[in-house]
Amino acid sequence: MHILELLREQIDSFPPMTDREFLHYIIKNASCLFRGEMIAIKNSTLEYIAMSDEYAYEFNLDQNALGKRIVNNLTDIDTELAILQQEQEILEKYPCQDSICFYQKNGKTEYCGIRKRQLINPFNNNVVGILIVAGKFKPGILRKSYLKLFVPNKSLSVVNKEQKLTSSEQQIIFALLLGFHSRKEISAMLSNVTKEKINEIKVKNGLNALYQKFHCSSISQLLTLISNDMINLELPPDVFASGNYPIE
Amino acid sequence: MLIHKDYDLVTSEDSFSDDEYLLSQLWLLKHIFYNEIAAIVNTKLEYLGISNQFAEIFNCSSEILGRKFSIYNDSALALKIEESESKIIQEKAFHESVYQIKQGNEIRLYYIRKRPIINPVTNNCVGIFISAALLNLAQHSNVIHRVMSGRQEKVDVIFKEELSEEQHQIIACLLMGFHQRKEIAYILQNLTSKEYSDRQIKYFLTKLYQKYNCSSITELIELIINSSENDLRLPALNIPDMINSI
Repeated sequence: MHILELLREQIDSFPPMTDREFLHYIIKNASCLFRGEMIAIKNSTLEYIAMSDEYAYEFNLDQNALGKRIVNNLTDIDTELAILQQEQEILEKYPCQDSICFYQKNGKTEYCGIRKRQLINPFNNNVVGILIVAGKFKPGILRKSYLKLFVPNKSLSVVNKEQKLTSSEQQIIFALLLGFHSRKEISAMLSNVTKEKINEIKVKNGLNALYQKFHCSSISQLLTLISNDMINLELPPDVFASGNYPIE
Repeated sequence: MLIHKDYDLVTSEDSFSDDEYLLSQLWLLKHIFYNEIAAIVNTKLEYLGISNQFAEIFNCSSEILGRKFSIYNDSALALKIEESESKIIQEKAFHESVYQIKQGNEIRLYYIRKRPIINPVTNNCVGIFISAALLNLAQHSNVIHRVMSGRQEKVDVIFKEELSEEQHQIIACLLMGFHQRKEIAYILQNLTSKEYSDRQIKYFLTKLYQKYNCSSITELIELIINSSENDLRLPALNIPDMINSI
């Protein structure tokens, strides 16, 4: 860590804090630094001790969740226990862990990226809790960046953004955004996550309907339209199994 | 903010001056974000603290402390970065971008988030907290494919064969989500300033199928994202360093 010499001396002379004071200090500072973002803090027994309004809103939590390990909100008990197990491992082993979390909310599948950091009191080296920072992201956001970087001048046709998409068309678009491009892949993936038999012909028909609706003729063109926010996309419910998937 | 009553303490230190508040954020940088790519600049955009990873990635060290990036690194990109940082301080709003940087003969992509540091007592913006994460193409694809295919465990596949520069380029395109020969050709032309036809891409793909003993892009991607080769090189070539707002 490189810190301006003059300031380093002042930082190093901060008065010692107990574990409780340290957590209070983190709550106070993190709530300002991550203003408007989804953050939460858990103690060393993995009970919620603080959460931003945004975090509470997104995960259907309120004051009653404070002091609890199991909050029984957007996922089932098995998923919550699995997440607690992952968090226990963070307390014991990992300074920082990134994951993708999937959950069902208001009849839709939602997902967000989560970074969980160990909180270590530097005055006694105790691991006193976890700082959780979550951020919603849209599928295809990376592709959008890649398009800007590598295909900067690609022109776009104008489409009617208000076109209504059927549930199966939304599923297909989502599969495309996740990087599944062949009909075989899309049908296998959608069959897996929806537990319904979705064959390649159904995928082909769905793709053709999308080409007609958006006046294009290839997956590439369709993805470019989606990546540039030219098509509204809402995820169907239960398209993903709820859970938290760490990125190793 | 919802806070458990046991941790909702009121202390005499709850009233910070702007300088004291900035110091408290530097303390957080040192003790909470020390093993990440992170830095803090003041309102003059002078660096006050940088993590070791930040120093390594952006090729700087203690000499940058107390200085602006444009003084340290005289480039049009540095000026553009400072322009966007000045806007963050003025508007007190966070900013996200993808930063593309040449490292040796490779290009690496970083997702960067810049948060204004606002003293809650004075409501003044006293600096910017910068954090970054490497965008790892194979890792991102791996998680998505594992989750969607219902296969929870990662299977390690180890390839011993070296990839050629063109094979690296094509695989990088596939992992970025560009699967059609036409679009791959278009991207490679942008990357290399050479002409590529669909037919050439088809040839390169066939070679990759032979090398990895598979017969489709689907299978190829599945093998690549499970390989121990965690990330793939994006050749730098004629791509300049640049930053794109999200």
